[in-house]
Amino acid sequence: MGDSTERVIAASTHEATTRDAAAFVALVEPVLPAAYRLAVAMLRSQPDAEDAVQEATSKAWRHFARFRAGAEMKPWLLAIVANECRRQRRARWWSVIRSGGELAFRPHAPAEPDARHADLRRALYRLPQDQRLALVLRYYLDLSFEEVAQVMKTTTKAAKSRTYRALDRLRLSPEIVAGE
Amino acid sequence: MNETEIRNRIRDAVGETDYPPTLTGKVLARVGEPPSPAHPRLIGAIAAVLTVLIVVSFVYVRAQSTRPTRPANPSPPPTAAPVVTGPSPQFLLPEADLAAGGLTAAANAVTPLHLVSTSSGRTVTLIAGYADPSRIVLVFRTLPDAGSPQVQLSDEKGPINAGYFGASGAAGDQVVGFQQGPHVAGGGTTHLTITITGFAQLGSPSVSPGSWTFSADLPVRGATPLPLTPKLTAVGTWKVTVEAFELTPSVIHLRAVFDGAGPFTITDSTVVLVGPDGLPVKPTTLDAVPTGANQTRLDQTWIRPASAASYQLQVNVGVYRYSANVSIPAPASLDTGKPGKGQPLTPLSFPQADESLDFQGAISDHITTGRPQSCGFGSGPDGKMIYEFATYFESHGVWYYVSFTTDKAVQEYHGPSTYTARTLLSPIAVGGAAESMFAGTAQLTVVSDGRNQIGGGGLHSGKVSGSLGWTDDPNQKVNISGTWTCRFSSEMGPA
Repeated sequence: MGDSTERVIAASTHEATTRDAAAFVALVEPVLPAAYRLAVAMLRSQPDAEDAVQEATSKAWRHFARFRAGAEMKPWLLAIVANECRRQRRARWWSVIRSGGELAFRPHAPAEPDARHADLRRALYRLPQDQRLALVLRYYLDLSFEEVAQVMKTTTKAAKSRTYRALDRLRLSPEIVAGE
Repeated sequence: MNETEIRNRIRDAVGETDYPPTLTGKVLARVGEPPSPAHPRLIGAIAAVLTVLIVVSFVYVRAQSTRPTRPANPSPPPTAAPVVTGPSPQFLLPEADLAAGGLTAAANAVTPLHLVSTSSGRTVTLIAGYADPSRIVLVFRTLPDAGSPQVQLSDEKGPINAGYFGASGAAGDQVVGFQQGPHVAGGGTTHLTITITGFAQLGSPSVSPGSWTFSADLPVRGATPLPLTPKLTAVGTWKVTVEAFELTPSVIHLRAVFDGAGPFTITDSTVVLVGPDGLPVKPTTLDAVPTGANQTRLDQTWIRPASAASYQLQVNVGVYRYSANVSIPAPASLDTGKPGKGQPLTPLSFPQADESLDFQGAISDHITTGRPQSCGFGSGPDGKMIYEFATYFESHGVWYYVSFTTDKAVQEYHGPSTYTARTLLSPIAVGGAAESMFAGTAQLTVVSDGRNQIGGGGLHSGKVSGSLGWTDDPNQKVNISGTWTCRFSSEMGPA
């Protein structure tokens, strides 16, 4: 099969060698800061982000045989990190605190460090996952639209479309208008 | 607003963070970790022996069953004995639900309920419940996913006015844990009245209202006191009265009164449970309530580990530290409902195969790989041939099982072609598949059934298209379409 000739090193994790690990590390290490930055932005929790990056890198290593020669590690790893964030976010705990007989719904999240940006932050995290991811990749990680598309496994046109839809929603948000 | 302004606004909103210097080391330490071991050689050998039997007769038996196949220990080969149908004698809660509720170690202490309530056009099922002296956990299912339920709870002695917490499990499942046990002591049975007044989505202030009420009897699991040596009576200037330090099937629970401590002086680093790896275990709940001037009652729980382990309890007050070793026994063994020895098979015990399956509706995802559990044709005592393809797949971090079995009442299997197939979809539970979540029919096209390949153990492939309904509300659909492959091999385990 043509695809198999393009594979970089190992055919499976079982056959991975020390040389595979060294190659993997050399490719992954420079991307880790961006991976962590993405995870923090998506999960809003530094411990959760560390967990997500560790888990995603572990998955990337297990599937390293699928990484094609000539491909870029950055979008490949960031896509795995984004999936891991989606998985972790879905399983995140929420809680309801009873205080004086009243129920207060409280998703687990760190305290707001700066109230000035709270409105935009809330609006950002109300966006659908794919739109939020597009914004984070484009404006928090400074990726080009081509790279955003690679991470999101879509076309450049679709990546732009999601980004602009997300921006539209943020601009339409009343609390954002008030803050302009 | 230009791109630079947008970038600045987004960065301000998200906030900046430094890259942790230890993260690279942690990540790289995991590179080169050995892969998960394959299932035990003994099981593989038994599976190989049973391969032929699976093809010729096993499929027939399974096709009659109301439940999907479970990836549990190898079982004796099926015989031509009459097939027993009807409700399963064993209940298996989805693994994702157990994990969400911190019940992995207490899987066999969970009580199946399956109580259905409909309001505002939405059906909600209370699937299961668990209670011990320190907590109550309830598992709800509603499709499509409505978010987090707002729950009111009372037992025979009145409202249980505790905070609660929860998380998503399998598709549509919400696991809710109350930070208080029922008024009935461990070993008894509590009668609970549960009302859901609405559902809220994370991050959204709006609530979808309704009123779903359930009435359930739950056994209250007992707690075993854990010894603390030396006795914990004081740390630094604080006096400590331990009211409970106990082990339930699901948690390690501490309740203690601290004299000399205001509620805000107690943090998540005051009482720490250090795990066998030397790292603190994240508490499941931590509740500090003032009980007097400079007096605080702390109620804290940690999820019980799924195997025996040694921990250390630490209480830190300023520069002072109390510590005691705590030994946690293994939980009662899980009954997988299957005879046999060795470790239960999991989806990862089966070889990976390329799939291209679209799921739309209550489960929405595109699956590119699966772990086929079976593929093949065969017949039973009536001599009529059927074909079955079944695979495990992972969606949004949850494992599911889907099976397609040709309906011999419509058409007997006679080789590659398109057939009407009965289709079941369920989440994975510890020791096997849970009760079917969706059922329906699909058009199963078999392109290759392995017969034209040397040895007969070759590639099976085909297409599928169909629609399934939630077993508690058939209006909630999952549509499946795409192509599938399965390479029949000796690694393919029996049910």
